[in-house]
Amino acid sequence: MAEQTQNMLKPSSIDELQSIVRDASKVIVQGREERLASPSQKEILLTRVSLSKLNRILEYQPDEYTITVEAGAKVNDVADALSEHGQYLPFNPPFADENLSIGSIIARGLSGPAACRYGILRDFILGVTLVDGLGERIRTGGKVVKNAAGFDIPKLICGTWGSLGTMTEATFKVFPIAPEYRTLVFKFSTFEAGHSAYVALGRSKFTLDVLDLNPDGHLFIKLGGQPGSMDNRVFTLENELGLSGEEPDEAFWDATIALCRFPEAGALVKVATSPKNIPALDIALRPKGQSRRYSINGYVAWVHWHSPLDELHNILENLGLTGQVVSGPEASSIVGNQSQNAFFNKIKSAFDPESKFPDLYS
Amino acid sequence: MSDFYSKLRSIFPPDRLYEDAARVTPYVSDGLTVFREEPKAVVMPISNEEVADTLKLCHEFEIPFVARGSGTSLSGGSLPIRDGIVISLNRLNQILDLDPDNRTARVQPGVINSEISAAAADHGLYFAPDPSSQTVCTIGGNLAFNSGGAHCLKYGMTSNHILGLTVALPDGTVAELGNDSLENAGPDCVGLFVGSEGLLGIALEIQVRLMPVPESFQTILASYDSLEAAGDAVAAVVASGILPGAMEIMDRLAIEAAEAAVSAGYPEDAEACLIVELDGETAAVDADFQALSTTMEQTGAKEVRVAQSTEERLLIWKGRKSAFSAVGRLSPDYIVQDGVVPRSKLGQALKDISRFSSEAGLRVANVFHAGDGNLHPLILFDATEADGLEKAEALAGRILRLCLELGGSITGEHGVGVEKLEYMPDMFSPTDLDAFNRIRRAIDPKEISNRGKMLPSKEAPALSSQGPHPLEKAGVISRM
Repeated sequence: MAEQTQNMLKPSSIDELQSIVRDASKVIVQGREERLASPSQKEILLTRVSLSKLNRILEYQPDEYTITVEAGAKVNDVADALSEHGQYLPFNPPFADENLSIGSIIARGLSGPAACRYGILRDFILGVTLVDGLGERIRTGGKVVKNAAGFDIPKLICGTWGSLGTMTEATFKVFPIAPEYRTLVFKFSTFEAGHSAYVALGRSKFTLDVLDLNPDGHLFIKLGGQPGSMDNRVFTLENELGLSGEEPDEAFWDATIALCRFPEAGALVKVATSPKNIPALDIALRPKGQSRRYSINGYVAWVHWHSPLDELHNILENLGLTGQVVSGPEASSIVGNQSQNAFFNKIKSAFDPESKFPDLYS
Repeated sequence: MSDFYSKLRSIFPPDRLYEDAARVTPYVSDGLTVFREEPKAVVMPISNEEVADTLKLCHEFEIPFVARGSGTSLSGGSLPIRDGIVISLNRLNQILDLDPDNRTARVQPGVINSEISAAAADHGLYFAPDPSSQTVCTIGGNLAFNSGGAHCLKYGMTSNHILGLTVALPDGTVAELGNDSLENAGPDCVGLFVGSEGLLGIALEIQVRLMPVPESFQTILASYDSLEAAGDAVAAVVASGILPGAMEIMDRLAIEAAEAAVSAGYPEDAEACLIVELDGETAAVDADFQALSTTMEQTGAKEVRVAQSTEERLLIWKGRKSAFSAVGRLSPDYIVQDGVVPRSKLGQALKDISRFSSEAGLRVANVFHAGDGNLHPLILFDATEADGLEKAEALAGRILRLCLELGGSITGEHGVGVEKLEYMPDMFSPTDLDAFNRIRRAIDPKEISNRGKMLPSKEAPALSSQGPHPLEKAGVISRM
């Protein structure tokens, strides 16, 4: 029997979780104690589940570059375990101050700035176990770094906000931490000049761990490598950019979005971008005066939005872009282009034929 | 049924619709030539509309179909379906757009893998997935089977390099999945479609990610007295914290074959060779190379060579990439497997494969992506012997089950196709397979899209031994 506190069921095993899902009319799973329900769900029917008791590191083999953890395990705990062996999650899960669970990071589909070097969450998730809307336990993917058997559910589930089922375990590929890192800010005088350098660096020979741009035209760069190589690499980079890099200070963070915590008010929106459509997005957002940060080599824009979400929806739709609310009252909402809607809803019907879990697309 | 074909003739002119045996025969098998099935017809669309119209027709008449590019699948993934048609995508072979600033290209499914890198080279970019058959295999096939190559540990598989898709679903509906970004906002439907082995429809346009060509490479070829020692060297490199672009091992038999084929300069007295390649910024690679050299010195290598020029580097890779087709020189027939084991279990896996080989009385050459634990045992046999193929298949099955026992997978990069169908229930539970079937039926309720592949069903393909693919015999493609 699962423990129940404050209308929250806390299963301590997958069997318990399966029973809960089978018995429930509507289920919402929370990796952390906050409201994640989509507006379409009626509170009165809702069974709230926390995975906080499913929080173990199940398997970690540093020599294999893999780690398997339960969904309720805290990202920070996983990061600590990895760092003891000189390894890390290369997709750089952000919002460390929020103490998110692994399940929450996957459900929200979050990658941090240092995903620039090797890839985002989808590139490092190898396997998942989940309980679907029928209460069935499904294990997909594998625990080895290479696997091509079966549908790639581990990738699909990233960013689905628990709409397909409740994830209980995940396996990741991990990589070695570089022996040394350098972080630098290059202060271009305009956004346009900064963006031009941003695009050029993205297709250049430089292998950067972080390549972010803020609306002031400042580039935030992090490099990792062997100690003997760093001075030379920084020198070459500065030559290429024609600017000297500076240590980032508070002024840099004031002009952008710090990805260590969620904003206290408003919506934090992740927008999938490409390097070239960033100027058009920035121009469209400027009149609103809202904070923004361009990250992961130009493939993500973080937008802190205080106005009605419909307005952002219209801006993104006009630009052919898609965004997803990561935090705030309308978290999980997808704004802008929704071309995947019909395809995804068919897939959802396969996982959750009785619609026990929240919808993602309305 | 005649209505179906008359309607098909209204879509395709005679020179792009084959119905006679003489013209459909080249399509009876793919790279896995032990399986053969004659399609009822082969169509060659030249537009997205023709593909979608064909699928609408197939959906209406419940005619199964398989999409096919160069037919290099080593798992029988593009084997025709009984009473079905083949949709040949070779004429959808245009690079529609190449955007160096966004580091993307939009391509049709019939584009050859290496042509993408060739087109991007002027911009200092390339397409990272590099299956050994990359000079002939198409991106559509790479996508369907989530192909790999030698550089997957660091750079991932095909799936990690596909950003967006225009797809024709099995009922002919056209859908847009993903975008031109590396990141998603919402579910990763592209991730689901890639590697779905054609069960969810046909990719019409593919947005691929391009990467900057590394500024510098350092390629090391080390020889060892035993496979185990080479495997230990891989473990030592991994433990050192260095992340090479590739780590490959070949055993003595594979070395002999590669040397005979391309004279790559491999040490022929070695029991195993290890290739380790670093790539990246020159200063970073140089520093990593110093650390790697120190590590390699302690691995007990008989000899360590460093490629001194691009030519030497490419020759090392030419030998490696030719190894599979070169094995054809050692045996009239062979089959290649594609299992994965945890890297730390490589030694045990190779020891057991050697024992299985002795017990079966069949030689096995080993070539593998050591960094990924992706084994490619080549089982040599003579199909003219009464039970030659059966013995080889039995040995292959034993090896795949070994991979699962060791915590691995039945396929690292070739896909399940028809070849590994019987092993799916060993890897996945009935509940897992039921979920896969529900997903498939949600998109394709009539189960006409590449029916009989990946998911076990009552349908079984015809089995006959036909030797290597003609392209393999010509040394153009290889099994990897």
